[in-house]
Amino acid sequence: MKENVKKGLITTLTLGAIVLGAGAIIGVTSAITSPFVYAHSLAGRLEAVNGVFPNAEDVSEPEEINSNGLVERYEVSAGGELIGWAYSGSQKSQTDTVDVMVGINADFTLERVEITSSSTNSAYMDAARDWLAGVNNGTTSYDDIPVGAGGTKTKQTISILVQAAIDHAKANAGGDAVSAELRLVRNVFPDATESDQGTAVELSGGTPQANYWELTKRYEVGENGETVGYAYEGSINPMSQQGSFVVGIKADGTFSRIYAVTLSLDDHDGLYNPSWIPGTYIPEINSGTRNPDDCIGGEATITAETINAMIEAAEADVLSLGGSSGEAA
Amino acid sequence: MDNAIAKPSKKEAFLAPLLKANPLFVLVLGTCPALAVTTTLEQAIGMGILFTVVLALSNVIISALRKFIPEYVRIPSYIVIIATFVTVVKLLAEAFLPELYSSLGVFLSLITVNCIVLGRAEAFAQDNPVLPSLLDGLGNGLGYTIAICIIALFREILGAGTLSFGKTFTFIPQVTIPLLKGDTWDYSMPLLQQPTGAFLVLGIVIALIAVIVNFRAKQAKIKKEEVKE
Repeated sequence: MKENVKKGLITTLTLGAIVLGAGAIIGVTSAITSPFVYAHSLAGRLEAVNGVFPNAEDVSEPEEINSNGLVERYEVSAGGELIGWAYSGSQKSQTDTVDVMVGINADFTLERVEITSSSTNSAYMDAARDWLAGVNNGTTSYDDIPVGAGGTKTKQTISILVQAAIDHAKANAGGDAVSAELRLVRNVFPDATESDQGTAVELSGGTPQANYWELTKRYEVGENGETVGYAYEGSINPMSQQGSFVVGIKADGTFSRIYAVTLSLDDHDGLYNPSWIPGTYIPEINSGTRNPDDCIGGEATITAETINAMIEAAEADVLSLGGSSGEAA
Repeated sequence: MDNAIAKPSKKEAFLAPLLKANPLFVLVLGTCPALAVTTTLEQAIGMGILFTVVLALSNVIISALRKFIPEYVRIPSYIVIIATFVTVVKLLAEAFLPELYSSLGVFLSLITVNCIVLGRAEAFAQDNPVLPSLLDGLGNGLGYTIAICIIALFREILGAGTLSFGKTFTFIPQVTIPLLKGDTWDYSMPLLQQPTGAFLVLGIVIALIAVIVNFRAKQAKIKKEEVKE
């Protein structure tokens, strides 16, 4: 017994002393190297956003987004003040996957857009680059896409990413003073100024198969005291596909926008294109170029139908409320 | 305690691991990183240097503390010591050689569990004074570095068709020497850049060394018999 206690004590003291020594050595090394590591890391981040914010002096660590084509967000500062956000985004277009860096100013206007890479250098891409030069020098608006000038789909893809970046910046700006509810609803009502705490709802089922979707919470959304619509928290799980969303319905019961909070889609052994939902269907229904019920013949019909069923249920719920209450909470 | 194994001299401790008891080619230890970080010569040199530093410092500290570390806690103690030096080397590489740090990735951390490092601690440093342990660490580190550099040289020249400098060690000017691959011609074998190629090269080199060692042993035996006659 005494021997065991002695052994245990020796073990603890020996290992304790070695660990303390190790900690001291690592601590000193870390203190010496951390300024250099930070400088390298900052240089890398400055290089990443240099194309859209050439005057940036400090760039935050990237925040992961992975939604609506946006991948990461950097907070960009100069002279000690926030000057905007740089968003990296990636979206499949007609034939190309376009990777962009979008610079959004602190007043939520577009600073610059840069194509960081593309899977091919097609004529579409060249046309998009020419159009982008106009967007960047201020002669063309990012949502002004001339028909028949070539590269329409690629330009639309970039335009959707820019809009998504602006919406995300608006939704996530304001610091801690903005409530979590308001941050959430701004994903579908970017200009919202008020939101209530949310009311639990139980809406589920719908087509094509029962219990493939459900809506769990409804928020009344206001802009400057006026109710502009409702935001719903919902989720889908058709055929092992999973996603959680915020669905925005205007006060008159029509669809506003949908925002994918999380998406976990697989390709069902090649039968299904998992990028079609976040890459085409959602951006197109959000931009108004596709009606939410126009999902037959797409590359992920059942998932799109489920999303549409969820949207229709939210629309019906808003209509059942009897229209807008006129004043947001 | 009566130790039947004769202690090697300092010279032997340093020189033996270079070829005769090379940790990779003869003892076939530490093969995993040797296959993973040998796509370019620069990467292999970098890994070799960092590995040698960890091995030498671990050997020195383990040897210095050998009389204070009880037998029954020696393995966890050695692992903590080795992991400390790996962390130190990792931090230094991240700060001063960021390209090397990124290219080595997880294999830098995995030096902690490399069987050569723990093997030398167990087989040598815990029974020998500091100086021979340092020489053993340096010898084994250098032997390992030479071995992975030979593999990398084969793989880069034959697999990529070029020999490049300045990409990992950015403080030297970037140079790419086209040996088997040019703008309009390409005689490289990309398979050798793949893990399969690494296994092939390692196997061929081990076989060549075995042939040389066996040939020399045979020659020595013949000479011995001739002398006897």
